[in-house]
Formats: sequence, C-alpha cells, structure tokens
Amino acid sequence: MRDLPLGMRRLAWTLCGLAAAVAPHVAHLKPWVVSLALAVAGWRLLAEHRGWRLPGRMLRSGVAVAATAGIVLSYRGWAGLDAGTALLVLMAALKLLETRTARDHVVLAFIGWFLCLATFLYRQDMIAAAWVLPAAWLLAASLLAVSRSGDEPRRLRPFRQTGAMLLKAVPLALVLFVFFPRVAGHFWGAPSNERAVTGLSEEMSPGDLSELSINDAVAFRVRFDGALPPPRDRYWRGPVLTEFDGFTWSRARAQAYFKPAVEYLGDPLTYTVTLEPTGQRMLFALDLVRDWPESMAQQSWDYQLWSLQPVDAVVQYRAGSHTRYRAGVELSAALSNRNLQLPADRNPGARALGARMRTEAGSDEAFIQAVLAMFREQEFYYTLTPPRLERDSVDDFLFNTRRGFCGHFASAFTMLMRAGGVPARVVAGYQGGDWNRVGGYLIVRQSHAHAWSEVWLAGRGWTRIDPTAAVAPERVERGLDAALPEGEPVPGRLLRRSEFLWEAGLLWDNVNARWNDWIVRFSAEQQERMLESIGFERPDWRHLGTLLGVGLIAGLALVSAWLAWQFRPRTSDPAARSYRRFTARLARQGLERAPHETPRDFLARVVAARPDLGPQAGDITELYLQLRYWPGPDARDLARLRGLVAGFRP
Amino acid sequence: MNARRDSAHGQRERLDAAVAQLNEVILGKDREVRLGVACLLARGHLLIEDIPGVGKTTLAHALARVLGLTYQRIQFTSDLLPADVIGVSVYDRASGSFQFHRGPVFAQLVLADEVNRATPKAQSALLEAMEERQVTVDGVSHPLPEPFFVVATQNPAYQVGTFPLPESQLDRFLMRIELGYPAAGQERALLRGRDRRDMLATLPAVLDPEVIQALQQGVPAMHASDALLDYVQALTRASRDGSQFQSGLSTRAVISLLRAAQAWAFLHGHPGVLPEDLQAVLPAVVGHRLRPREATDRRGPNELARALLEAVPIP
Repeated sequence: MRDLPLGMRRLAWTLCGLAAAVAPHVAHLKPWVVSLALAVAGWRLLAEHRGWRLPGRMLRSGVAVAATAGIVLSYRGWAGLDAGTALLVLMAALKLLETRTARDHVVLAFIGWFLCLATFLYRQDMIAAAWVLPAAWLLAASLLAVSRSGDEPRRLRPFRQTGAMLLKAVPLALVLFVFFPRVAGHFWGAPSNERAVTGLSEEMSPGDLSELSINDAVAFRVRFDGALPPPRDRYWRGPVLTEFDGFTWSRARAQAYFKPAVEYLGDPLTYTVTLEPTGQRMLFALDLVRDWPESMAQQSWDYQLWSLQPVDAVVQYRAGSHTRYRAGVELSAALSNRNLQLPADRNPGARALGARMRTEAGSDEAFIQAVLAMFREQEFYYTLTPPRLERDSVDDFLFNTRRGFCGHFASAFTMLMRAGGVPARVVAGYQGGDWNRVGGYLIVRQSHAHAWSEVWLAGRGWTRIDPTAAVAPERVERGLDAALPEGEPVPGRLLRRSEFLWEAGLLWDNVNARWNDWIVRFSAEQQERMLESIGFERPDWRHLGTLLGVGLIAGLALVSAWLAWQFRPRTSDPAARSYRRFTARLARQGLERAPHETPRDFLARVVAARPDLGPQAGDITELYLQLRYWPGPDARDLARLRGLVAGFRP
Repeated sequence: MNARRDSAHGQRERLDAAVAQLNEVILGKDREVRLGVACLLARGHLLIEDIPGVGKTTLAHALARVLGLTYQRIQFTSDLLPADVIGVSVYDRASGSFQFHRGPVFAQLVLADEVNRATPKAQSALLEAMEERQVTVDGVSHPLPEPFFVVATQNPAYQVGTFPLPESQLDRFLMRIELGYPAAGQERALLRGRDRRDMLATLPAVLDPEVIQALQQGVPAMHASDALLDYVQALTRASRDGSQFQSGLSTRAVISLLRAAQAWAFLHGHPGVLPEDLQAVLPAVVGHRLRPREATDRRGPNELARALLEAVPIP
C-alpha cells in the first residue's frame, strides 16, 4: 500500500474494512445483493486506478432507487433484519460511487461498524465475536489511515495505533458492560418470523426428526444442581402433538383446556437450562416440570413450557422436575375425546389393527404391551434413513416399509392406541444428552431429538410409553450411535469414536457454555445479582444510571486532571509566568500566540492588529526577553514586568 | 576592560560594515549573506545549494574579499583527485627528499565549486580537511591556515552527473543555504548595475584574519540562558521522537545549532541568544541533517526544518 496514490490507498483501506464487516452477513444476503455490492466495489477500484469520472448525481440516484426497489421486491418489504442488512450493504456499496473525500470514507467506516453490530443481531456466539472484534479494529485502523492526508506512515501503523486506543478503551467497555443498565427482557434479536433456526417444530411429519438428527448442533445445555438423572429418565419434554391428519401430527390449536392436576412423587431434580436460540417459544424441561420462572414462561394444559417471548437469543432458566409423577388422573370428556380423534378416511389398516388388538388384549395395559411386543418381535427396524411414506403414513409404515425412526414408531403407536380407544398423544422433545465431564453439564444436541407417546391410563393418568425403546432399547440407554447399525450416517460418530476429538469437542463446548453464561446471558437479573453481591442494595436502572453517570464524570475529571498535570507548563520562571499572563490577556482579545511564535514575531502581529497596544506590548516583550534570555536578570526588572503586565488591559 | 569593550565595539562596527559591503554586491540576499557570515563566525563551513547562475560563486568570492581572507577556488570535476585538493609530495632532486607541495585547500577561504560533481574520493579528501583542520600526507601533518572556512556549492541532486554527498558528510557543514532567484527589483538593479566581477576586483577588505579570529572567539562566550537551552533541547527531543524524522539530530548537530544561534545573536548585537536567533539559523543548520520518516515525503530541507519549528512550543 505504501506506493499507492492517496485515493487508492484510502479506498483499499476502506474496502478491506467494509469487506470484513460484510463477510458475516454474506450467508443470509441474497446472491444478487452480494454480487451487486462486489461489482460496484470492483468498478470503484478500477475507476480509481484508471482515473475515471465517478457517476453523476442523476445516475447515482437512479441506481439507489433501483437497488431499494430491488430489496423491497425480493425481501417483500423492508421491515425485518435481512432486508435491513441488505439495504445497509447495498447503500454502503453505492456510497462508494460518491466517495471522494476523507469524510465519505468516515461515513463508510460508520456503516461498517453498524454492520458489525448487526452481526450480533443474528448470532451472539463466540465465533461471531471473534470475527467482529478484529473487523471493528480493522475499520478503526482504516478510519485512521484515511484521515491521514499526506505522508503515509508504515503500513501497519494504523493497526498499532488504533489497537492501542482500543485497548485503552477496554476498561471503560468493561465498566459499561457490568454497570450499564440492562433492559430486562427482549433486547437482542430482531423479530424472528423470518429466521429459520433448526430445532423441533410444532408439527411432526414422518422424516422430520431423522432430518434433525443428523444435526449435531447444541440445542441446550443443562447444569444439574444434584446428581445426573439416569438416561432412561432424561426425557426433555417439547411440544405435545395432539392433532393427527393421517400424516402429520401437530399441536392442538385450541388451548382452552383446564390443566389437569399433577401429583409429584419423589424428590425434585433442579437444574439450569441454557437454551440456544430457536426462534420459537417452546422451552424444554425434564419430564415432568414443576417449577419454572413464571415471569418468563407458562405451562400449557399438556405440561409444555412456553416462553412469553420467542427465543431469539440464548436464554437461561432454572427449573425443577420430578421424574416420577401422576399427571391428569381425572380426564375430562373433552380432553379424552380430543386424544382419541382420528381422521375418518385415513389409515384404515391401522384403525382396524388397533381396534382388533385392543379387543384381543382385554385391558389397556395388555393392549400397550401387545403393540410394543409387535414392534419388538416382528420385523421392525430402527434406522435414520427410513424410506418415504405414502399419504396414509401409518398404514404404509406398519404393513409395508417397517423401517423407521423414533417419529414413525411414536406416530404408529399413538395412532394404534387411539384406534383401540386409549387416549394417547405424541410428545416431541429430546432424549438423553452428552455428559460434558470438563464442564460438568449435559449437552443436549439436535441429534437427541426424539418423539414418544403418552397414553392415559385409568388410575395412572398420562403415562409415557416410548415405542422406540421396544425396537431399539439402546437408543434410550446409550444414544443414537449405539442404536443405529454401522454405515448409518450418525452425526458425530467419528467424533465419538476418537477419544481425543471427543474430549476436545467437550472442551470447546465448555468454552462456548461459559461464553453464554458470562457474556451473552449477562442479563438484568444477573447484573442485579452481581451488583448485590458486591454490596449494592436493590440496584435498579435508575441507581445504575446515576452511578454510571457520576462514575464516568468522575473518571473523566480524573483523567483530565492527570493530563493537565502531565502537560502543565513546566517553567517556574516568574518572568515566563508574567508573560503567559500577558499572552492570555491578548488571547482573550482574539490575538492568540502560536506556541512556536517568538515574542517579537508575536509583538509585530499584535502591533499590526492593535496599534494602540504597541507601546505597552513592546515594553513588556522587550523586558521579558531581557529577563529571560539576557545575562544578569535583575529583580527590579522583574518587578517592573509584573507591574506592566498587571496594568495591561487590552 | 574599557579598552577591550571599545575594541569589541570597533570590531562590531567593522562586522556591520562588512555585511553592508557584501549586500552591495549580492543584492537582496541579506539573510543569506548574514547566515554566511554567522557560519564563519561559528567556525563552521557553508554549503550553498542551488541551480547554477544565482550567485553562489559570487557570494563566496565576495566573502573572501570583504573578510580579507586568502582565497582559493577548486572546481570539482569528476576526474578531480585527492591530490588536486590537498597537495602532493614531489621528490626534490636537490635536497634528495620528498617535498610537500600544498594544494589549493591551503587557503583561508576555500571555494569548493560544484562539490557534488567530484567522486566520493575527492569529496572526502576535502571533507576530512574540513573536519581535522589539517592535512596529513606521508605521515606528516600540515595544519591548515586560520581561520579556515570552506564554502562549497552544489547543484541540486537531481541534476545529471552528480555524486550527492552522503549524510555523514553533509553533517560536516554547519549550514546549508539556498540563494534562490532575486526579487524583480533587485534583478533590475543587477541588470542596470556594474558587472559583479569588476566589483569583486575592487572590493575593499573590511575585516582581516586577526579580527575574525577574535570575533570567532567571542561567539561561544555569547550568553545562552537556561530558557534558551530548554528550547534547544525541546527541539532536539522533538526531532528524535520518531514521529516525523528517520533519525533525530545528533549531538554534533545540537552543538552546531547553538553555536550558529550564538553567532547570529552576536552578529545582530544581542546581549544574549533569543529564540528568534535560534529560529533564524535553524533551517540552515538542521535542514540538511533531517530525513523525512517516509520515503514518499517530498518535503525539502527547509520545509522539514519549519515543521520541526512549528512542532515545538517555545518554553
């Protein structure tokens, strides 16, 4: 960059900074936006190189209007994070077309910072931070490099200088991070309707869960206060799917049911869940949850926790659960009815089979055992890659393919139960979890997604039956990897087989978990807790704001005082003090002495501007020079100088 | 005491007369003339850098005449040998021994014309003589006359066929000045006036070597107050902090700067050195010793010196 002409050098710096800021957004920008931005940037570089004229106002306006229209059309409006980001990226690119002065570059750097910030609206993990912080640094360096008009110092000098500046800002940033009043509730994250986050949904069609299961991403992490529950109890309840259309199970649309009473047995397990963003409102808790933060979530009639806000950012909550319970012993007719409904014209084979088996079994319990035995003893296979099913999915599965994942078994089992007159429903959620020895918590991944059934039995209420356990008991006890045959594409199988990789993965996950705990989830509540722990009573945002304001003012005052002390005039010469008083009085009249201006040069300027001051100023100046620079200064002269200055009232 | 002051007073007047005399020959260059005289008073050597034909040689010659110094001119060319400068030992058949024949450098004022046209070898012969104030040939040292004042001229480095003086040798010159074109009025006077060459021939000597030596001894005694030394050191620090220049001023350069400022104050009859004295000589003294930090920096010596001045407040 050293030998580049000034315009090119500035452009190169700004483009590097912008590229770093835009890079994290490329994945969710439409390809035409990226291409257009790249094309404009490329053209601008070429124009600088060849000395082409930049487009005129009309053309620029036209392009800007067209680009905006393009965004409105392709994003269907400009509300929303994606459209906003795209608009910002395009406008930054178009701004390049009129970038000539340093000021234009400054504007671009600010757009760059805004894009950096926008990255955190999409994700707040450590990798995002690890990218964005250097990008912000690069932008700062580019700002510095651009603001140098002439002599370019060493190429990387702006980096060093801005690095030093940013480092100096770190303490302030830390103070602000800890003390800046947090808004309780929804702060990060934009309206999430457009964001496709992988995870469970409120519907389940055959094949959905196996798709999810090849995703090894973390769904949530759980830290237990006490001992870890055994694998067979690690059922993380998600959406309860009551409605069945013959192919897809979905959540009951009507929510107006009375929540049946639960009798909790045994000791509660308490734990803290840190949930990765899902863009949905469901929260997960161990079956069956008894305590949860009421300010954050509510429990539906089917015992599912629903957050009051969509989970657009990492959330953390404490919950308490009992793995032994009796839920809904009294079943209302309406609820019973709802859990027996089957579409009339679908899956006739399964309907008939269910009815027949119930009759043969004689009791509900025996009926359940008979169906499970059927799955176990007949040729049913557990696989991650089941064949596609026909429209009557349960019939196709039961009598034809017989190869399925947990969703297929849960779906078929629940359908058979209903056909036999036993109220039943599908529960989606997660089962199991990887124990992170390093961090002492449980990692539940998307690949732990699971579906099981709940049947209502007289006297026992809603009882969990996991038909998958009948086919592949290892799935529940030892996880997916153990349950699936060699050759199936199990996520993380390679990782699990290599002890080193597995341990490294756990370590990395632990770091991520800490990041979530300490950085991303530093919420109003935690802030309050921390401040209380260091001795603030009832800190609320007003106190915090005052404290922060007073602290900042005091800090700035201290720094200013220190700087003033550092740069105080060092001379203790009384003549110099008198002369300073003299120049200060003239400065108030608009005649400021440049620091390097000699007294006589200054005098000439003063005389030219205010001839009336000439004699007095002349005497003072000469006396001062005599006292300060000539041999044998005289105390009487000093007194005279003081007198002259005291009487000098311009 | 009184007599000495009187004699000092007389010397001052003769010095002023010398400057006035020089200004009659070199029109409109009062500042450069005074710098030249100050350089001599500070026992330094002078480098005049400018395009040909603006009066470099005339100034040097006029200085020699007016100051009453013996004068030698060495025209530096690319085939000039060290012996052409300092002299050569020749075998004398009569005495049966080698006799040293003094070269043109044995003069009180030596004009080294177009010094950057010669090869580095010839240049260094002169520059060594300047520094040592003596010439050593065949193990015998021959002291140079006193006062010894070298005025070197050089063409700007970008002209064809030049060997630019390296930094270490530039440092030997106390001052480097440029003459530049005269103002229109002065040029008109030149056009109308007598031929300068004729004027030089008839120019009376106003000073003589003894007076000059006396004056030279007065310069280091010139009062420099603590405040002024603070200023000198502040300038030095600023040149060394690395923000503007490749390397700061050397100790020799700092001493030179103070001497030059003392000479300037002496020349102007100040009882002590004032900041303005320092500022007046600073571009000539430090300009050629500063290198801009960046290779792309196209600022000349004077601009660099001004940048240094403007960066440092007068304490």
